[in-house]
This record gives sequence, structure tokens and C-alpha cells, in this order.
Amino acid sequence: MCSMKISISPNANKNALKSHAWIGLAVSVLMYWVCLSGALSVFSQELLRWEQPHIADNLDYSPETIQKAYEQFLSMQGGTTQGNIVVRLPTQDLPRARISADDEVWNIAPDGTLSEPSSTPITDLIVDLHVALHLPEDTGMIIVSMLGAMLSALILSGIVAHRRIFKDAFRLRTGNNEQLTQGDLHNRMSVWGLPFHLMIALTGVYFGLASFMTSFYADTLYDGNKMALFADIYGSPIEVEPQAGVANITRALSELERIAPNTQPIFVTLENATRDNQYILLSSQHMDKLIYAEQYRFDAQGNYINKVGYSDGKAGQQAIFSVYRIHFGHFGPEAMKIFFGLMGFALTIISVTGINLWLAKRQKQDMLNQLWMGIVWGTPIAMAVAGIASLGVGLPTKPVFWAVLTAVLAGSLLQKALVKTHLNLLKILTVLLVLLPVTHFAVHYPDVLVLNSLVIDAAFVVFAGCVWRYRMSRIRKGWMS
Amino acid sequence: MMLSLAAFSGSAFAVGLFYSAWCSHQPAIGRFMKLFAVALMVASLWLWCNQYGPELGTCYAVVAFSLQAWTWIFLARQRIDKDIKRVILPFESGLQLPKYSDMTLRLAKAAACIFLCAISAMLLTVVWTTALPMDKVDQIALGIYTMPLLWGAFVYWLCADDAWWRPAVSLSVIGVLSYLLIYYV
Repeated sequence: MCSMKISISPNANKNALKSHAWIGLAVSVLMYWVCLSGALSVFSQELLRWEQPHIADNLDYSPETIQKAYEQFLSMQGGTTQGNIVVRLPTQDLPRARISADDEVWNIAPDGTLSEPSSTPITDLIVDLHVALHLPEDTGMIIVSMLGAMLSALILSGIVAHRRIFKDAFRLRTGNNEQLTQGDLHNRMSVWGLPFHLMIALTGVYFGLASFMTSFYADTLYDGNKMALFADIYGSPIEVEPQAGVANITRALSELERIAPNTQPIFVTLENATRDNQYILLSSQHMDKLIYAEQYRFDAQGNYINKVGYSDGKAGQQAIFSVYRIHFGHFGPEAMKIFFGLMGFALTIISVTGINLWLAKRQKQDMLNQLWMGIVWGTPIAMAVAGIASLGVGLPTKPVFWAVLTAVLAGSLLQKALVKTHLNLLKILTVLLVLLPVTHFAVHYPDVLVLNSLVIDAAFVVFAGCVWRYRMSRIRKGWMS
Repeated sequence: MMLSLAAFSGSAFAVGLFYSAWCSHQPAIGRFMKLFAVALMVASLWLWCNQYGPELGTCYAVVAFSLQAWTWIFLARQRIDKDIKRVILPFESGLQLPKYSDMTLRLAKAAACIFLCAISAMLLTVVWTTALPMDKVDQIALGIYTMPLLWGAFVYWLCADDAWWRPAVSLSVIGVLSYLLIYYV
């Protein structure tokens, strides 16, 4: 076997391992929740279509239908809204039009009428767990962003702690030695997924903590004027002639086709909607770039004013506006999402195997083992129960999720035969992963007979098969004896 | 499409070469293989960028390489079916809590990881990025992308050093100096 001549002193190695274990333990549960829900959140657009399969997917829309939807929405709101009005235009990855304002979201039918409110409690359960751990958004986002920094600490300490990083570069030993397999899985997945994991960590910090950084930058570079900093990064605000009343979205969308013909319009935002200074912001994706979208500004009558300039702006501006798509893998073909989902799932496995290895080294089992097992298997079990309860009887997902997770944890604490509890939890999860698509199919038949829903239902059954296979492999290894 | 296929094949071949070098018992040949593999990776990156532009091209190159490496590792896995007796670790009821002094130290370390490391990393990032001869927006973007790394490095140091006060004092000094540089110099 070859080995590189890069060596780290045994003491540095030992300390790095200690640091790695310490940080890993400190963030274990939260990191696991964020990674698991993050892997699922990659498919949030598919999941929200799965939750309302009766809403027809439709890529063809005309500016007139969007205008009609906007006018109907506006009249439903009594002609005024507190916040901006946002229209999500149909795209390949989410072929549905939706309009929202003041926490109300409606689906738009192909003819431009508002079909029904958007209701996606299962997707919300998953996405909100990833974004803010179901805490109040500001607090939750800060905590999740801190986990991004801890992930980069884990990556750095992991690299230094991994003495045989090159020697074991391709080694994966499976078989009867569970600890060896988990160690190899942990190390190989970490090392070969490193660029991805690092990028997830760095971009993850942005969402909740960028505001702190920008305060310091504003003090240093802009004499404390935060608005001037935001103007440089996100574009300066515009002054428009007072134009209250109904905005002309049709004209703005038609204009956009002329101004930016090779782009994919994704959002229509009515900034300061229903007020005198309202104007239209059209976000359109440049498919060859990682920036989320370029923003084209129009007055309320649909006359083009200017664009913010992300697409041909400074490198830094583009880098900042690329954070979202890099973090969630929402670029390129659908296969990219599958890859990001896999990578997120790999990060989940890394979190779990890391703690498993630490627990195994203690040469004893106690309450921590019970709790960790309850968390690891209880979380997907609670998600599945919440999903089934929501689909079947319309129960709210978040309370059900936390109630079930608490019950699983309490149940795990009562069990001293950990191996049997583990196998039982795997059995329960398998059953639930079959029950979930079956319930979905039964509730939504015949609307469920569309590709997106069928693929997701089939994926749940495949996951159930994987969990069952994992359980059987444990039994073959003599766990029952 | 042809460029993508060539890029994909190139990186697959590079992973294969890395694997062969890893297996090789002859260091000279191994080194040559690794060099060739690196050249192939660079060529593959160039092809991806040529086809999809530098931003998406780089992403695709990294994605393809990671996927291929994992596939290779999975296919080359070693199955060890030795009859290892499964050890059932003894179960101890309850939870053995650390001593009060240990607990206090750990909580203090956790607080330092979150607050001291974060603030020091943010302030130091602002100081070093704004010292670079770049546009303001580029400085900010560079800071936003690198601050978590610095924060992570500080956390790593704080948790790795046996004398915990050493990083704690150093980070405090870094934080204070950076603050002074930002607000008073």
C-alpha cells in the first residue's frame, strides 16, 4: 500500500481526536436532526407536489393568467396587504404557480383562477426542522447556522485526527465487525465527500449569522451605514412615481421576455404592494450561473426600470447570491438534487456512526445508548407517524412529531435489552415507511397516479426495504441470540 | 454532451488510477499513477467548465469525482466474515454524571466555543479581509465564506488544547485587538 509522507505528530493527532469527539458529542442530536431533515429538504419541491397531487402541474402560463390570479388574490384581500405579494411562477422543478402574501398561499389554476390554498404540513415539518429546529425562526436559524460552524470544526479536527487518511483512502471493510465497518463508513464518507460537506457548512452559516457579519462590515467599511452596505450587495432601493392600485404584471412579464429572453422567470414580487410606492420585481434565473436569480425592476405600470445586477455584478455579489443554490443543490438537472440528497444522507450517517463509535469505545452501555438509539430511529418514526396522521385524519404534524419522538425516547429508556429495542424500532420504521405511501395512495387516489407522487411513494417503499434489509443483516449477525 | 461524457470518463479513469496507485506496492509507479490521475482530474475539470461554464462546471466536476470515488470504494469493499464473537457490553442503570468541576469546565468551554470563538472569528475576519486590496463587496463575500472556517478552527483549538486557558486567552486577545483595529484605529 502506498502512503504519503505527510505526518502529524501523535500528540496533535490525539488532541484532534479528543476535540473531534468533544464537538461531535456536543452537537450530536441537533446535527443529526439538521442533516436528516436537510437531506429530505432537498426534495421539498417534490414533496409539496406529493402532498397536493390533485393540483395539476402546468408549465404553460401566460402573463394574462398571472395577472388574473393576482387581481383575484388582491380582491380577496380587500385590496390591501400588509407585506409584499409574491407569485411563484411554474418551473421545471416546481411546475405550479402559487401566489402568497401575509402568510396566505394559494395555488393558481392553469386558467388563472385561484384553485385552493396551499397546504403542505409534511413538507413544512421537514423544512422547518432543518431551517430552525421548529423554534421561533430567528433563534432557530441562529442555532442551525452555529451548527454550520461546528461542522467546519468537525471537518478540520477530523482531517487532523485521521492518521491514515491516505493509507485507508479506499478501504471499506464490511462483515461481522460492526465497529470496523462503522469506522470505515464514517471515515470514507467524510473524506470523499469533504468538498461538499465543507460547502454545506460554510453556506449554512450564512443564513442565520450573516447579519452579524454585515454589522461589523458596515461599521468598518460604511461608517455604520448598513443600508449603504445592503445597497452595494443587494442593489440600491429605487424611487418610483406614486402608482397605487392594480399593478400591470402582464406588461412586466412580456417586457421581461424581450429584455432577458434566455432566462427562466421564477418570482414576481410586488414590493410595497398596494401602497403608493409599489413596484414590480421580476426574478429570473440565469441557467448558466449559480446565483439564485437576477432581479429586474419595473414600475407598477410594467415599465422596465433597471436590473439589480447580480448576473454581471462583482464576483463577491454573485458569490453571496449563490449561497442558496449551492447549499440545497437546486441547480442543474434533477440528478443534482438526488446527489445532494445522497450527500446529505451521507452526512446523516457520518453523524450517527461518529456517536456510535464513541459509545462503543466506552465499553459499557447506559442511558446515553438508550437515548441515542431513541433519537436516531425515533426521529424518522416520528416523521412517518406525523405524515400518516396528517394524511389520514388531518392532525397537525409538528405536535404529533414531538409527541411521538418523546414517546419513543421514553420507551427506549425503559428498555434495557438495547439490541431487541433496536430491532423493534427498525421493524416499526419499516412498517411505517410502507404505511405512509399506502395511506397517501388511498387518500389521494386517483390523483396520486402522476409521476411525481408515484416515484415518491415508491421511494418510501424502497427505504422500507433498506431498513428491513438492515434489520435482517443484524439478525444474521446474531443480534437476536 | 460529448464533452460531459469525456469529462465524466476522465474523472472515472482518474479515480481508477488513484485506486491502482493506492494498491501498488511500487512507490515509483504509484507516484506516476497519481500524477497522471491529477492531470486527468484537471483535464476533466477543464472539460466540465468548457461545457457548462466555470461555476456549474466546477460543481459537476466535484460531484462526479465524489460519486465515482464512493462507487469505487463500494465495489472494492472487503468482506470480512471472520467469526467474531459479538460482545454485549454490560448495561449500567442511570447515567454517570461528571464531577461538578468537570461539568462547569465543560459548560464554560461550550460557551466559549459558541460566543468567544464566534466573536473573535467574526472580528478577525473583518480585519483581515478589509486589509486586502479588493472591492468592498468582494471583501464581504470572502469574509462570509471564510469566517465559518476560522470559527471552526478556533473551536477545534479550544477543544484540543490540554491547557484550555491558552486558546481562551489567545482568542480573547485576538478579539480585543481586532475590535480595537476596527473601531479605534
